Amino acid sequence: MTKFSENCLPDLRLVQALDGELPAAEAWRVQLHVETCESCRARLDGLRSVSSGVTELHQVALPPEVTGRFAARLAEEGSEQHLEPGWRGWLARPLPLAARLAWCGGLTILILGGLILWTTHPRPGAAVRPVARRQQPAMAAAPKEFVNDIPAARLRRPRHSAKRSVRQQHVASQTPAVAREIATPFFTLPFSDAALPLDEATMIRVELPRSALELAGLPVDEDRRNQRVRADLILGVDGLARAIRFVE
Amino acid sequence: MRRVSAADGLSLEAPESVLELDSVKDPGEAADPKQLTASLFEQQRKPVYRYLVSLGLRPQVAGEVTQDCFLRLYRHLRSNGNSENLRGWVFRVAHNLAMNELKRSGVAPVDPSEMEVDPGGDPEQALLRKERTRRMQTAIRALPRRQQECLHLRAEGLRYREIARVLGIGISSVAESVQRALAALARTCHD
Repeated sequence: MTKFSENCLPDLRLVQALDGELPAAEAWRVQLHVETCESCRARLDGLRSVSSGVTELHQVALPPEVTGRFAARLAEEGSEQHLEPGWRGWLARPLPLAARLAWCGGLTILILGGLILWTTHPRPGAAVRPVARRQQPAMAAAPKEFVNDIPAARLRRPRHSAKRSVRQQHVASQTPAVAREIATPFFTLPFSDAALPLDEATMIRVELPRSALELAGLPVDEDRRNQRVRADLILGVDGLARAIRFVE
Repeated sequence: MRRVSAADGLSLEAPESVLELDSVKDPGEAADPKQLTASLFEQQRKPVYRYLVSLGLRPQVAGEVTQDCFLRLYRHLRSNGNSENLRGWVFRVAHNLAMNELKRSGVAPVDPSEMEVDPGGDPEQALLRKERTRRMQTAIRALPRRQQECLHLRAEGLRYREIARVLGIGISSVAESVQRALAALARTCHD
């Protein structure tokens, strides 16, 4: 049994030296110490012996088929690109040039078609607000009677439930209750087109401030000035309001 | 065992596998991912396989995981992944795959001594060797998991900094784990 002096190196230093993990100068100092210190030399030999024993445990033979199978899998992997499963793999899948061109062409047609439809199709909901803004100066300019006798069949039925076609209005006007609802005839608006295609016209009901009656030359009670009043708007195919009438 | 160059001021002996680090080719030398993968597979397939077995994977599973590691390396290189310290990269992948496999299979790790190859030769020597191996295995299994992993990676020639990257711990922790593991084994085996 060798004595462990206070000059002896700790196991950590010996293991690091054994594994070549010390800087050269430090390793050299350890070597010098080990040559002169019997205790450290014995401990180093013990650590080295155990280390060799652990290494010996790792002598497990690799099955030969692993190498052959890996070569085949690597060749297969290299010949066709590895694709991830799912939509990422589908997107990463290589396509022939013709297929790519067809995809690009189809996509372009789709985008252009959507753009054309978007710009040409009337959007009733979007037209209500501009009409409401523009009708005030229009009515102030020159209100005149207009489409009280529009053939109901020529007006298109609106999509929204709040919109009512002239046919509906005509039928409704046959009943006394609805007839009482109508307060004024229709007044044309200045940007109204005489060649309005009435087949495509729609009528919607909106709410306006009662002061709008004043712009049409109608009397307004000062106490009720801030109240709302309902009105029917006839919209052209372009979404612009062509005529207006007020209802109770 | 091989002696370290005297020019380095060292005369201690180090496990040969440790010195193999320098023989791992710099990935910058080979531009083709397939060639580089094949080259690394040639050099590292046995250490990786042995490490997987030492973690407790069955031989067949360890063989499959070894292949998976290097196929992942190929994809990694092909996608212009970081090509520094590829050996550490492979071992880290192997370690993670092994952990996943052990969790997934839910079975107890296989004792690597059960798969030891019979060296032949003198029956008495073989018996003594087997007994020594059994004692060593028992002592290693008694170590904390982290110390076992450090010990096995070190036995496969990885440097401390590589072990640290594989296990995601500090280099000083690796050194401490290795030292404690060897000291514990030395006490056990020499009692």
